[in-house]
Amino acid sequence: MVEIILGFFGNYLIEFMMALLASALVFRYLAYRHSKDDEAYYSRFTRELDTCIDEDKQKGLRIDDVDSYLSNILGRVNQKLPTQTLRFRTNKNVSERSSDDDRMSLGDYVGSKHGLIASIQGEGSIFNCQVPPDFTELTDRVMNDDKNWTKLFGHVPIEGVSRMIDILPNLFIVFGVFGTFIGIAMALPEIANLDFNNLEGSSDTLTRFVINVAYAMKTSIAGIAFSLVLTFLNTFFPIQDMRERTFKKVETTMQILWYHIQNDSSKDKIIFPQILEVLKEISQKLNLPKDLEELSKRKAS
Amino acid sequence: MSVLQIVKGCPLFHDLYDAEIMTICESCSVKTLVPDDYIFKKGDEGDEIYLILSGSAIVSKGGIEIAKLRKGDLFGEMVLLKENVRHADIMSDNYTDVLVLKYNDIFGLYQTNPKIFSLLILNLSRLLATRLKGAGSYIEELKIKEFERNKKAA
Repeated sequence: MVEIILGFFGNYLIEFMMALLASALVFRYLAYRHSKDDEAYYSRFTRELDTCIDEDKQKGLRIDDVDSYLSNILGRVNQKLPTQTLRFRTNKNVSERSSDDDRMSLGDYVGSKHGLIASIQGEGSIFNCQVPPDFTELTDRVMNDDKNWTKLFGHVPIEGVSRMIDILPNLFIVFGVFGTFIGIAMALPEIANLDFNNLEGSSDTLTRFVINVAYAMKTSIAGIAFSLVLTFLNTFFPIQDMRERTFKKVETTMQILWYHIQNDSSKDKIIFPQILEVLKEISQKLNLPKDLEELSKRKAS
Repeated sequence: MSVLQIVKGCPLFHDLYDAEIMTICESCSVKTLVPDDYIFKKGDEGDEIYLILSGSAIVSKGGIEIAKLRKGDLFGEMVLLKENVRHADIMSDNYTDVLVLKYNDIFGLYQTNPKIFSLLILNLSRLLATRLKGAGSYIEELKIKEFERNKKAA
């Protein structure tokens, strides 16, 4: 088994590395473009959500029912988001549906703009809770529900592709070193076959020795060159950085939305004046000294 | 998936495994509505059951609001008892998404997956029994109030 593997890599290692580089470049390009589409889409989403929050703040909208408000604001954002985007290029429901029919299959619903909205609404209990949540975990849960974010073409996990592309530069160096050792391992036995008394007759042996040593050098050169290509691309066109920026943007917007809902639905604003009124009535009935009433007025202001 | 979490919470899908619920939901569609959109009106004929995925809807009859439906609430289930004519108006009062289950898709499970079908019918019976019990309690309260009112008047 080991001999088969060594034999294969002894003959085709450089071709194998070239095929690996080609597929890495293709996946890298697709993942990069996908991440750019995601960044554009989520930027639009966060912008629209921030705009709706600002509009509500300016109107002085009161939030009595958090779930209802969440549905309303996310519904308004959903209306502004385009149905057909770079992200939903394969969204069949848009072309197949008639203009009167607002229906779509569940798979299309989850895979379209509605899926992200549904994910956030699914976390409605977090927005009802008065304790600030871990916004990173919240954003992680929301975005991991979006299969357009987590998968390439709905099947290939994009995190896996990204991690694989990040380790490939080192892997190519390793393959290069591996090829060098294979080349030397193939070259050294040829020395044993050399007849030092008849060097002219051993020319074929010497040729094979040189070819194997050259193969060892070529694999190292190929490994270094391929590693340089991918390192250059990873440095100037990083995928993971772009995804982290998008993630942070969504996390910030979730934070803004949570604090907006909590500040507006804060029961303290309603209950505290009521408590003061009750205390005033009690102090009047008990004929408490006036300075106590002044204290309650100062606390109210 | 958050849609699965919402659907699992519905009493019609109690005791069903996630994979079984997904089997049912695969053939479902989702309808998106804006405020003041009618899902159906009284007198309409239909063969669909609805489950609110997000938003809310108001049940009204003759202009009087009877109930408010929220996320996870099921309505229109009387079609499973072959009551095709709707008895009330259901209007969305928010941006609402509803999961639509067709009568034929549910009854088709009788042939393809009798276990899921029997659980659905059992859950439907429980749901209707709960509503009947609730209606009975409400009638009792109204009767008691009427009796006390008559007693005071007398």
